[in-house]
Amino acid sequence: MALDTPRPLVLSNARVIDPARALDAPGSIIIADGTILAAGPEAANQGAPYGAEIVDCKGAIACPGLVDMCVSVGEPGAEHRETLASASQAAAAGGVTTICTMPDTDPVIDDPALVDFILRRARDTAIVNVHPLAALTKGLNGMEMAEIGLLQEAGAVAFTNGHKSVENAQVMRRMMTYARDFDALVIHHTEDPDLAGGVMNAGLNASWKGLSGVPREAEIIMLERDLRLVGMSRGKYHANLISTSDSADVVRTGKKRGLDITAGISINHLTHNENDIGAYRTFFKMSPPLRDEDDLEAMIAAIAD
Amino acid sequence: MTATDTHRDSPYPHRHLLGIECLHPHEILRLLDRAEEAVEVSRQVNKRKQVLQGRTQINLFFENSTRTQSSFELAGKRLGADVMNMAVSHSSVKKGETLIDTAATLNAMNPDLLVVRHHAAGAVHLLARKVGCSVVNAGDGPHEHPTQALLDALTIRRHKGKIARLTVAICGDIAHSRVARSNIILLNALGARVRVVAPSTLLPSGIAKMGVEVFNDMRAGLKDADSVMMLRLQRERMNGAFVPSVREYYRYYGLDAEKLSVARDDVLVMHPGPMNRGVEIDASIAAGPQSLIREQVEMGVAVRMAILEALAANLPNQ
Repeated sequence: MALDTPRPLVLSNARVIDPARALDAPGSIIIADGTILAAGPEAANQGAPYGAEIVDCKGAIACPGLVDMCVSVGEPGAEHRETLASASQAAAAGGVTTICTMPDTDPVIDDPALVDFILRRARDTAIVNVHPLAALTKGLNGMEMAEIGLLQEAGAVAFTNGHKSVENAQVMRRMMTYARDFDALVIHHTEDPDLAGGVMNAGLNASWKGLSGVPREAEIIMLERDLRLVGMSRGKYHANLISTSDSADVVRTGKKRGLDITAGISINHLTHNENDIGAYRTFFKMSPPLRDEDDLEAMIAAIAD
Repeated sequence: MTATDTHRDSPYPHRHLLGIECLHPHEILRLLDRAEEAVEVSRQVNKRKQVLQGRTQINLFFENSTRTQSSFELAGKRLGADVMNMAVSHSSVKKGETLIDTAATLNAMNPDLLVVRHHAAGAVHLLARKVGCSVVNAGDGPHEHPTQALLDALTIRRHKGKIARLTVAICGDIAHSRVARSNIILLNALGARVRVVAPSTLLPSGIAKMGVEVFNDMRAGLKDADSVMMLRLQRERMNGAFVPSVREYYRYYGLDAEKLSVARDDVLVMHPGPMNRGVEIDASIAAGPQSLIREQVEMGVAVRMAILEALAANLPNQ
């Protein structure tokens, strides 16, 4: 909404969610001069400022802008499919006001000049906040560490190897050790590439369909390895996407050991399970794959934690 | 052990120099005093002494070295010894001979002094147990390089008048450096405050328990330092394995005027060589007024004369 217009704005009849105040209640939001004056049930009783535009939200959710930490954008390299401009419009349409862009573009974002490029393009063309993630290893080759310090100075907010796991434990250990010196967050896709050769969750369902499976252990083994390496390096670590109940337990255990770790769960793994694949609906092919209903419930419980 | 007992009353009561860890502080100081005399000898027109006359010194270098080998060669010759250099590329080691067999072969030639450099930690210790002569460790893998630490100490002492209570920052590839290990032991033995400054990937595990203060930031680590020792970063370690790139390493860990400015005004800049300008040290700092890099080379010959003379004094005379 046009927050910078001089006319005040009232969003009435909204479901106001504000995690910072643990608020989830029907109410209004009053905005003037680009500032939120009031939000929540109390705002509903204050009336509207003079000349305000009043929008009836009809019970829709109004909340702080969402942050998507794992956004693959076509720019640079595949601008014919997607640009930072179009990706940011899609984000805004979904209530996402901040995106972190993945570095697995063409070229890979492994040079300070490329981080600078993303930031300039975002400044000139995007309508949401754009924070680039930079490559953890050069060209995402999983072997040579990227210039964490220079990339961070250029504006990279965290470091990831994209959708490829760093297979070599020694490389991963050194990466996390080096990143720790710069207080840099390492985001890692936890999937053993040798175990994860399939197209959907391994198990009876995949077997009946005649599809190759990705066992849960592909994720669990890599995650457990990573957390041992975090223990050695004492760095900041984020498991990009977890999908199994065991993974949630591994993360819980790691946090109990005092590790500085977090984990992400995709909306897909909170709303769907492998049965949704049905008759080969290939748009449900994802990494990590959709798991079973028990895992889905474990993911919801993990979020609630 | 018996050798140590035999030389109990000697100012240097050891048969070998395998590492600084084997030395007492007063033995280190005595060697430095002796080296001061050797500096004077080396600055005379006639540099020749006769204390090693008739003695045979073999320099056995399994790893390439220019300055250390020539330094030992000059030191031996200035003391009157017959010095032979054995370059390993020409030796039978390339034909598959074991280290112990090489030792036995050399021993059969009755050398008095054996100066050994080897790429494996502990190799010089093993060799010392298999020969009848005195052995000087000229560097064994990432373990020790005792003469380098002695020459560094001599250089510092000549400029500061003491070692005790000075703050010395050792910067760079600590993990793979024998120079760092020997210096940490020696400087601690003489009462200096030792700091190490490096990215964590270039620090050995347990470094905080080695008697040093650990820094990952140069400006913090160099603050009020009396002396800065830069270490060489080997090429194979700069391209992503331990640090991402030369330019990133130079940015955060290369010694330039800006980083050096937080040290004391009379800070000493040292480097064991060979140095990489524009990698771990800025060219202008390496050539600047605070740099003692060239003087370290001179002190190297003196320290090696001192240790060879000390060892020769313990050799049997009949």
